[in-house]
Amino acid sequence: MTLVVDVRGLSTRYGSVPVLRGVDFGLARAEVVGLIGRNGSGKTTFLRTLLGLARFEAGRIEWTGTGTAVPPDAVDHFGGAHTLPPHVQANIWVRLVSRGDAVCDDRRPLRALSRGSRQLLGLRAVLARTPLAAVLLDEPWEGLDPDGARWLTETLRRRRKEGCGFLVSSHRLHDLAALCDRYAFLRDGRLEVRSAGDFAGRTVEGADLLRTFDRIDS
Amino acid sequence: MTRLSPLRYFAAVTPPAAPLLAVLAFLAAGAFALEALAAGSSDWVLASIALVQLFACSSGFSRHASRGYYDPVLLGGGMRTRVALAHFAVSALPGAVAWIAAGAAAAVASRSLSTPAFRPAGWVCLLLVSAIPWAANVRFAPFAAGSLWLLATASLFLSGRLFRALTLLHADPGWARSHPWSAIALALGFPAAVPSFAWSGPVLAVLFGLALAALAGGVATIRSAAFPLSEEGS
Repeated sequence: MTLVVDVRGLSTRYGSVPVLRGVDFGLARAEVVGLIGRNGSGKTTFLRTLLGLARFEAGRIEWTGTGTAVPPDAVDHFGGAHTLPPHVQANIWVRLVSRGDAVCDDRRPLRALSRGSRQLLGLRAVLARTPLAAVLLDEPWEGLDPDGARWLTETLRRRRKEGCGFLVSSHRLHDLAALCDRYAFLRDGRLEVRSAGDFAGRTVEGADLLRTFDRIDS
Repeated sequence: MTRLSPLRYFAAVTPPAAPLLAVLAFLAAGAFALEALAAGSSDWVLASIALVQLFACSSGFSRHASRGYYDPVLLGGGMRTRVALAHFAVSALPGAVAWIAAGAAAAVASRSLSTPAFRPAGWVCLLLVSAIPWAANVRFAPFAAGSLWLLATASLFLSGRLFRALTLLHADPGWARSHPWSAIALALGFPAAVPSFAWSGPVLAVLFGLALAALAGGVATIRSAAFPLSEEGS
């Protein structure tokens, strides 16, 4: 298993509130890890800390490729439709973020698109990039219609086969259950990682994940 | 693999406001028209460009960054200095181009490169009105620093202090040399006047140093700051 990122004892706080307490985690190439936690549990903070978009106070993050906490260029991220600058034209955004690997004919500013269309466009721009070693996605299914959700799941499967690792935060447990190799449950700043194999012999559904999460949560 | 150029990114994502660009283009064109009519008649255009530049460079960084708009270039954090300098360059470039155009108009008309825009005082003025508002505005909403600076200048004018100092400087070209601290205060209070008067070398050097220090401060702020999403923590 080739690790893309190795995290040891990561701790951070939001203001005076501890968000992550000594988190250990590793993301490998060609795997999808689902990040599960209640609202406010620190999922977004964890993703942004891994990417260097938020500071951490203790621990170590080491990205393969740079050997430091700075991710290499083959690592990308999509934080959701709300993180897209509203006044930029859709075609310009896609060309810019995909580094020219995707094209879009829509010349409207992003604010003129529906939330679901912006979400899909943001995902398409990031997931079209080649090569990609890892992508961190925050609630990627949010606002997508059934066709968009299916496209996303299929694209994540295809890119995983190509060797890309994914850390995906989502409340859509049934979508995660259809895709993930491992699950990372975040509660009270602690991360508990379970293999999809823990659910072996059963049809893994969102409800199973929720029960597991509730067990951890209790 | 193509790396995402911060310069290209900011030019696409946060270009200077269209009305500011229109005013700067109008001023640059005005300089050529005025110089065509009478050489040396476009000095006030430089002062106007300097005032517009106060606002163009008060572009703000944190506000957009904390909404996630800059995530693609901030990702990693390893090239924050490049990111900060690119943001400054995109904010300052239109004003700098207008400045050079106005200077070129005066140079063509006077057949000399020694025009107010291209003298050391001119370049120092351009750097002052670009770097200080940009750096002061890193953590604030767009135009905040420019508005505050203009308010301070207006207050000084209304109090009569600025006018008195300008009169002294106008009457005695050696005033800046004999009163360096007052001259520095005058230049900071009304930077648009800098290209039109005689300043001593040390005064210009201090102003240049202040502008560079401000720029370095702005870059350091962007390098060291965390930009949590405004809805993060919910």
